[in-house]
Amino acid sequence: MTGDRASVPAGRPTARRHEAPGDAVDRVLRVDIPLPLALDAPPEALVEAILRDGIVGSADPSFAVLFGCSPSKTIEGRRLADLEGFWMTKAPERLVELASRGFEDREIFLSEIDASGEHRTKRVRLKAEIDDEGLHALWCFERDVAVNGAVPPPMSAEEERRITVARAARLTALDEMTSGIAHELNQPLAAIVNYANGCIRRLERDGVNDRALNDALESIVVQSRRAAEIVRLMRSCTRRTADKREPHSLSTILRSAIDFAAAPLERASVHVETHFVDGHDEVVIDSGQITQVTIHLLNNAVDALETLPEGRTRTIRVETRIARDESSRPMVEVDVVDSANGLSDVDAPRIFEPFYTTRDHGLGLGLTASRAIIESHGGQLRLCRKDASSSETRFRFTLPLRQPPSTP
Amino acid sequence: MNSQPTVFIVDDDPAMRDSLGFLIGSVGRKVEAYDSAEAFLEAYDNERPGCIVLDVRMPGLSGLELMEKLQEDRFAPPVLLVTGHGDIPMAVRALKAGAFDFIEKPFSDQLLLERIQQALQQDDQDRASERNRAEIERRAERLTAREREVFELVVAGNANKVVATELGLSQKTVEVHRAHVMEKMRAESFADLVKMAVVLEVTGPPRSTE
Repeated sequence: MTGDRASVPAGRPTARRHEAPGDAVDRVLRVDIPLPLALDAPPEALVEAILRDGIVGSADPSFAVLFGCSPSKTIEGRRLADLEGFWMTKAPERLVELASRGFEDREIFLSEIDASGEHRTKRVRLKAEIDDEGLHALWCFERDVAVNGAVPPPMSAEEERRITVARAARLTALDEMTSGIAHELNQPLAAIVNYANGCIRRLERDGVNDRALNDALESIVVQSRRAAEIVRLMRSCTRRTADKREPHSLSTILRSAIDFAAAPLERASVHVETHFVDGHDEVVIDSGQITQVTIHLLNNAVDALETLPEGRTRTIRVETRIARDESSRPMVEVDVVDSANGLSDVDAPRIFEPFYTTRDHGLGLGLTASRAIIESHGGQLRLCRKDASSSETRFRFTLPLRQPPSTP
Repeated sequence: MNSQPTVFIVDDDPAMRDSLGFLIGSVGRKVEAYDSAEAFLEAYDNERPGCIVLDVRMPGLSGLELMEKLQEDRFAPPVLLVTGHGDIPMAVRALKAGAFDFIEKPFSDQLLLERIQQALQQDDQDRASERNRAEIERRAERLTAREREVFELVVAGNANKVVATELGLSQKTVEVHRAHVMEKMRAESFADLVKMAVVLEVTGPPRSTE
């Protein structure tokens, strides 16, 4: 649906204001967020449109404004995808403007008549957030709020939980991609900058005064930095921003993650043993993200156990304990241990590398992303070095233990 | 013996390692590169002056783990950690673990070379004060038990008379011991002697009221 908007040239002329190259880069990337929002309509207004096969059948005026059409232009009969493209080129300024007005998030409703003739209304959530990296926008299609005018029953807690995890999974997948690419590109870019700078300094040292050569080398530095900046912005655009940190009992989160993995665990006849610390194990986390990490580690373990011949015990142990990190902070340590044959000496040192995978499916970014999630929570994720006698694989992540508020 | 300091580069990425060496070498610094923390430790000799430019993320022993190991060695050269952009938690952890500084990738060459310069200065100072301390220790070892007592009491600010009473000696004897202390410690003044006591962390009893 986003077409090839990524190819919009960075230097596209603009009459709006003078732009530094960085701004242009910034603009292209922001425009490329598939989740635009711009709301000239008053915030409390309900924005609604009815679509048939992606074509706008009817829309209220605020929808037209939202999608970049002036009220005088007709919006009916146009493809939503086209409007979106049109609109998105204007999005960043509007985002900034909205953000400056304290915009946080709001909902719009899209009604669609689908192939079977059912009239569905979808709730779409638009969300703008500002953090120190700049502005982020999210647009999430949520569930049907009405089918043929009938309102479906309210979501059960279970359903809501599933939706939260599914959303976290989608965001994680996107984040995996971009963080992997960012890392892989940053290394060679940094090396290019080093070589070019080294050349400049060597020419200077040896008294070579070649203006053209020097300028070309400077350009290599500037252009590489520009590329690195694009990578950085790409990363900041897709990074999970809907990061909701709240205090949770870690054992509760781990149990729910194990529940979620129940199907693959059962399919592979894997038994899960838990040994959780008694009492206080509260951590301040985004529960969706930590659930994701746990599920990922469990799935990895299941994959390893599946290679065992029939009859061998297939067990995963999930253990928690309280420990202190190198700066003596109290942490909760979580070990996910499988009884498979252990990682080979070839794989073990490389498993955290982006795009490194021991399976025939998957991108090889799960552990990279998991590590990023854990580190953003102030913890660490590592593979514990196995001792020679043991054939198990033990992944350990840590999270800072929440200090009880009563502590002086 | 090794007057020219070395910049030790530890990075698993061959392009980063080589390009860093090329850049740092371009200002005439001596460079040695290692592709893993393990390889570095293998060759590690704490008597060689320099600094370490260390990639925080490496397979095997990570940058932080290497730092933890080096922390145990007070002769270890300062460490400049190279972190990914915006990896603030990692940077904080590095500083807490005793890193001299951290640099975000991709970095400005100016900044990197400046930091290296500062780290080398730090290392030089550390080594000088370490040499100084070792020398003072060597001198202090030549003091007799009695002289050591007198030394501790006078640097704590006690007058000869007080020292004499404290040790049950005549004031004259204390003066003789004191002269020996000055001579053996090669102190040029009483202030000099007190400075040495500070380096040795000698703390006598507090000055008694007269």
